[in-house]
Amino acid sequence: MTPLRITELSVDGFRNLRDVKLLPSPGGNVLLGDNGHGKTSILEAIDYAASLRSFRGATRTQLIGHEAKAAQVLLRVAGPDPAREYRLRLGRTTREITLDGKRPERAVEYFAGAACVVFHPGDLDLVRGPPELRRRLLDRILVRAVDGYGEALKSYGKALRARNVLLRERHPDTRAIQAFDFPLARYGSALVRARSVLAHDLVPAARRALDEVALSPDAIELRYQPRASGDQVVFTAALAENLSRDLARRSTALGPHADDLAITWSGLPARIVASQGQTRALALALRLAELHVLEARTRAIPVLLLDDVSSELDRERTARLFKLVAALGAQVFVTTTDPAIAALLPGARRFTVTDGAVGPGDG
Amino acid sequence: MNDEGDPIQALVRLLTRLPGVGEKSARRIAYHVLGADPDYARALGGAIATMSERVRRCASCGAYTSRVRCAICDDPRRTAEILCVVARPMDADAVERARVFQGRYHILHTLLDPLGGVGPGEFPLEPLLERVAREGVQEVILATPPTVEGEATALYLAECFHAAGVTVTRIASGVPHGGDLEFTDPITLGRAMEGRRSV
Repeated sequence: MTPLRITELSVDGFRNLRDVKLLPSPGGNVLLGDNGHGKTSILEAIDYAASLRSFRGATRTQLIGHEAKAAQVLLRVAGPDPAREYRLRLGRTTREITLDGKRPERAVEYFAGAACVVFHPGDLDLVRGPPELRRRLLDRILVRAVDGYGEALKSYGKALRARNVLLRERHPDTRAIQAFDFPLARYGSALVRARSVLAHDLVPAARRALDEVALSPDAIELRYQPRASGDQVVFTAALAENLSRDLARRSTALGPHADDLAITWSGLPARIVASQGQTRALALALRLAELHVLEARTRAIPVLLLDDVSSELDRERTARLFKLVAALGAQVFVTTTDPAIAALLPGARRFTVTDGAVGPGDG
Repeated sequence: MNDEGDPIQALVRLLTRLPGVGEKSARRIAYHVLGADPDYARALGGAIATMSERVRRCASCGAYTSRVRCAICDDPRRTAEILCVVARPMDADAVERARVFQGRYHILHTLLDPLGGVGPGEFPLEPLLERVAREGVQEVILATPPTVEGEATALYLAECFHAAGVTVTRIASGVPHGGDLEFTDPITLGRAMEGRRSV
């Protein structure tokens, strides 16, 4: 399996980053520096260019530096295919994306070519937070692994928003509302089918990952809970049946936008029974499962972005994780304030991040 | 630099409002016009002004024309029994180029698009229903694009016409001529499979 490797990274005007240029190592990379200087923003810039979404939940305008006209990111990524060039330019009202100088034609081609897996402190919410974050995990994998998924997701969102606008009108027109049932059911059922298959693959991947982070693999159970059918005809019928309820609540109740991925731990909901330490390890296991599934489905090992892991994991688990990453052969970027953590990743290239600029590390 | 009153900048600003024209292309066009014969610039400006003064929408189908009714609506060889409903004038042009259609067109100029501010109240349904009744249309072909709004519009119109007892068909969607199945995107291929028929 060939690992994906970022061979060059340039960032400018993204949050507080100014004219950052990095030539990362194909193996480990450590970003050292005090908090608030831009370490996490570098990971965010990489992942934003690769996934077009901020893992910190930021909107586009929040990502543009206060004094910058636009945020720009350039990634060169080597992998099983010839090296590809990702360019992103975020203006206050515009977003330009190119892949090898051209507008990407298919979502899967863009997203799979620079697949990253991020593990960051906010990931505790994968286990404890609302279902939206777990749906986002499924979608993040599927836009990279399934041709047409990204397009279907976009179309579904559009149909859903349109239908909800119609449901909120003062005198709702049921004929117009039902006209959107067709695209909603077509794209929605496709999303449910893809998510069901993925959830099935995620279980063994998560067990393997739990073993890797030293928790009992048998304790975890993942169950996909769809809120609509993967059969377009059944989906459509359910929408029709539910119309009066939707009219009363003024929004569409059924559909993949309300799905969840239930995580149980020794038979009980993980968000309730898992301790703080177990929750962290579970969240990490879900991210490693994301990596394993992507590896199997895209035939390439994603780049790992680990944000401040030492605050999330104890020293032993951190060391174990780094060993695992090295064994997988994945390229990894680690942020930390603690030079001792950098020492756990032998052979890593070090960079120091100070006030939005990057210099060579001292190791 | 202050560009108040700079004629180049004024043109560039107007050009960038055109679809698909960014700042760079706009500058290229401006410099090209400057470098060309001044007669060309005058003719170009004149042609744009004349077009916008003289061209209007056909009273019957909505196509752009400099007459009251367009050439297709005025052509007695075109049957009034079949009506092809499209979203934009260029969609009618595309069907026309295929030379397989002998009926008339109806151009909506918009789709049912609640997110874009076109809900059922704003959608131009009445003129279409009136026309179908007035001209004795037997079959309505819905040729709106295979997008979310295009599909919803087709379904919305189909429901309205079923209520009025008119036959409604939807154009098929599938693999392009000369296209390789292997390189056809899964959504199109899925539609082609759904829309299969016995041979």
